[in-house]
Amino acid sequence: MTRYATIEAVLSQPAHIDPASRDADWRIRYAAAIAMAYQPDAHWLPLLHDMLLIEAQRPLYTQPVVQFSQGTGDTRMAEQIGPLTVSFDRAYDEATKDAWRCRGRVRQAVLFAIAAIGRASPELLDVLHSFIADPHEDFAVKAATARALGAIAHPSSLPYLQMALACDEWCTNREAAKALARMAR
Amino acid sequence: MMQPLLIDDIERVRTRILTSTDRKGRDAELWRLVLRCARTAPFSFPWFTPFVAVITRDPQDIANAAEVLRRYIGKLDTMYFSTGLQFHFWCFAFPHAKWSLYFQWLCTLNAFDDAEAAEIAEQLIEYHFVNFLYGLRTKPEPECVDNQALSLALSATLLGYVFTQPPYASHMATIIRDEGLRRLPGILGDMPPSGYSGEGSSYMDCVNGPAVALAVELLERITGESDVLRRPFTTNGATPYAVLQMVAREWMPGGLLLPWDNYGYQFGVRAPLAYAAHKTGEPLFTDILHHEALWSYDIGTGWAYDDLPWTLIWWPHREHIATSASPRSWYEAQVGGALVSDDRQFYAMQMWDASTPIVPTRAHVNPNAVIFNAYGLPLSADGSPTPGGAPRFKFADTVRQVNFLTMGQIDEYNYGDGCGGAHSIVLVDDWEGLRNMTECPQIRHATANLAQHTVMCDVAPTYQERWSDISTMIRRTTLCAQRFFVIEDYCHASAPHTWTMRYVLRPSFVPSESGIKIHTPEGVQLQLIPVLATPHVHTESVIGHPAKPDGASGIADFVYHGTNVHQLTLAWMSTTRTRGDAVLRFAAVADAADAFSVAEARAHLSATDIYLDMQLPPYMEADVPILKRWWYHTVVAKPPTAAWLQLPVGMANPRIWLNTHELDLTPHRCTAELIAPQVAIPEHLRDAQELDILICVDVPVSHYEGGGDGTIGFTGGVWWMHPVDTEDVVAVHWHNDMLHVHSTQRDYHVPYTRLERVPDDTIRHN
Repeated sequence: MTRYATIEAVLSQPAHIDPASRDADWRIRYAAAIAMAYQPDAHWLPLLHDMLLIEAQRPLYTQPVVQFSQGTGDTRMAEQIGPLTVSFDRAYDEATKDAWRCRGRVRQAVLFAIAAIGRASPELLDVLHSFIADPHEDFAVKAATARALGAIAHPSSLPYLQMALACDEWCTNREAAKALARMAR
Repeated sequence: MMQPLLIDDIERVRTRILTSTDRKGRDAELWRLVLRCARTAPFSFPWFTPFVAVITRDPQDIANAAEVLRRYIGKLDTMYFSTGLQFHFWCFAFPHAKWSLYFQWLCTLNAFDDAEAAEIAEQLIEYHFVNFLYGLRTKPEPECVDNQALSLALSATLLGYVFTQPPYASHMATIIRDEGLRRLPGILGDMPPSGYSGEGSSYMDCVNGPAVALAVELLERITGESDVLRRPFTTNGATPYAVLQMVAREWMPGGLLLPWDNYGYQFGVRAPLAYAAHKTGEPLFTDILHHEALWSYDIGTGWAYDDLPWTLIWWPHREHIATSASPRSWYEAQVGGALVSDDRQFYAMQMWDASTPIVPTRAHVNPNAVIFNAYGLPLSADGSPTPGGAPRFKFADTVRQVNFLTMGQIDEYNYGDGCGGAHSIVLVDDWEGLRNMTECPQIRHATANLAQHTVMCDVAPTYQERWSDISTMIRRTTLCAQRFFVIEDYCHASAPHTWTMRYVLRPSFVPSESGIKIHTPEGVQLQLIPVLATPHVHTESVIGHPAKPDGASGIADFVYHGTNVHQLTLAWMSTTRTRGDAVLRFAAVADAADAFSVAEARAHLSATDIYLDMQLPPYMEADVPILKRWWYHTVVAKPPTAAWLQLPVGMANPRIWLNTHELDLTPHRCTAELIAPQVAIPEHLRDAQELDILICVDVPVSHYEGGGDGTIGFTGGVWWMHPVDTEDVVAVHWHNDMLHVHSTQRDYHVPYTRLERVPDDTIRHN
């Protein structure tokens, strides 16, 4: 089955979600997490925790500065049409480059699934707290974490949400403010 | 047979466009331009090719467009490694959705075989699913309402719509569509009721306007509702129409957009106007489209260079085209108001749109700032500084370090140019870094009477966060006698303060017997004269702020001390020149290798059979190759009084010789991108019977030469300019509710009642 077909199956047939959550291809794991969010149930939580552990083993945020054949890689690239090539400072294996493509996408999808479920084990909660505390974590993950923590509403998250509230990035501090407001109710 | 989505009645659109060349009209000019670009250089103008293919159905046009789409698909994987895709995903989502739509258009033309079409569709869907659904879900809901969230929600709805129509049945596309459709109405409905998002003309014009037009079309098709354009989606009261109306209102006479908030002056895009004109027939939109829009300006709308094709798709019905000029004054209680004379020669806008607290990057701090424009030319300065220069407005507490939009690097931003000091407002106690530190009310008592040509607002709340004793900060702008403006300021506090009425203007200051005066490079003057009390006057010439149009500005400060200040300031605009006849029919040759000497150019020009009017880049005006460097030549009788030549706006690397004497265009280099330069005819040629005019100029040969800030190809032609007797102010005074202005040409006696009398002794002059 092609990757496209596999993702389509994951999104339409719940039986495909479990194996997809451990698939070697991050795009399929991402689809599995999105499918779980559409069918939120606490029984997904161990799988979601495992998915975060898989991501923790990947060099998601180690991409060096790269050169492009057109421009600098900023927003102007959006308007241009190929051909487009990228040059790295040295050779990297495909698994590493695939981690750079992915960055926080799977993590975000997992966090939204956890938010939809609204519960987390203490171990899972620790992982979520570590995303907020990590200064190198992408803002999309931090914002999703704040949202998930608000949905879980565990008192141990309060200092982390305060930390997120102080973050300079708007999506993160906005989600933190909403989470804190929800927990205060 | 499948129909191209989002085009109503493709056969009718094809017929209209293909027959437009049988008659004269701006739509015919535009179609010829787009067709020539797409056919002659399809990979330099790729965004025109799908549209040209569906209109002409010519096999080569279809093949070109299909190849462009393949090249787009070919760059998708590489883009993963860019900071753009990873952190500014909204900029990539919108063009991705557009290419998905264009893919569907090309499928209606059988541009791909079934296997290739299926493969492309899968790549487009999956890429959106993993990148832009992720991006949309990053934006907090429902409070994120801006060009970014709108782009992401619309893109999801559009791509999802395309790939849930037959023959497609994608679960990914369904999720994408439903997520977009769930959020899009709320984003439209939570826009400010005025239609102004606070993000400045750039984002309003290039993102919000084009996005709203497409959103209306999509929502009507998906929901089956009609008149979505005027539907308030939330209790907030905002409608898509209000956004399009504000996009039109940002156009000032002469064709530049308001320079408020981020980025400053720029030309306007056209498709949102065409769409609004098409849907409503209102003269506001058709008038701008027909009289002020430029065709040689190419810019990404939603990060896609397809503004001109959509302009043609939505071109207004012929019965709407002959409408007369529409009133251009406007007022919005939460935004501001513009006053425009009936002949559109005199324009002032007073703004009080909300600023962003703490870090006013997008929505600047401009409480009651005024912008002047006369004879179709800007007179005020606003915007952002020249990149890399020494910023005039940088303060100890306006530097921000950001590490969340890059891969490990730290970017430093100065947002001092967003603070109050960079705007034509009243400063208190010399604090140029004026901005609010909390979310709080910023204005009160906004009113207008457009029949009486006046707008007014009290912006005291903006100042009260820092100075609680300030009770009143009223400014009222009035257009008097269809000729001049009066800016009335009334500031009141319980403790004494320094009050600085600041005006940030285009260069350059010239001597003035009263008040201050600027004289622009185009010979337009603005004189500001305090009427009631004599202030201390300070002027400052600034280099590097704002970047456009001049890369420079002049700050005029009128300074007062006391608990109160109540002042009338006369804003008098005049011109020293008038436009005469056009210079037409230039011999033209391309310099393909950019290598002609002047003598070689003249030799080629003497043998050419190409004659052009310099209204547009050559390939937009005639069937000639798309080449960068062109030479133009003519010998014409010189009108005796002509003292300047107005050249086209937007000339790149221009050179000009008059009777073999090369003129120095260096002083016009920066300004000429946005304003047609007027070059003085040298003294020794003033009495010449005829002039030999030789021009060398570069033109853009692709969408992209503006580096993301819009690509301008020269336009507007060449004109003789003559000196005129300038109407200057000799004296002005206010007495018994009458304003008396004595000019060099006539006297004006205008009833003018001050807002409220305050004791004169509360003003202490410096």
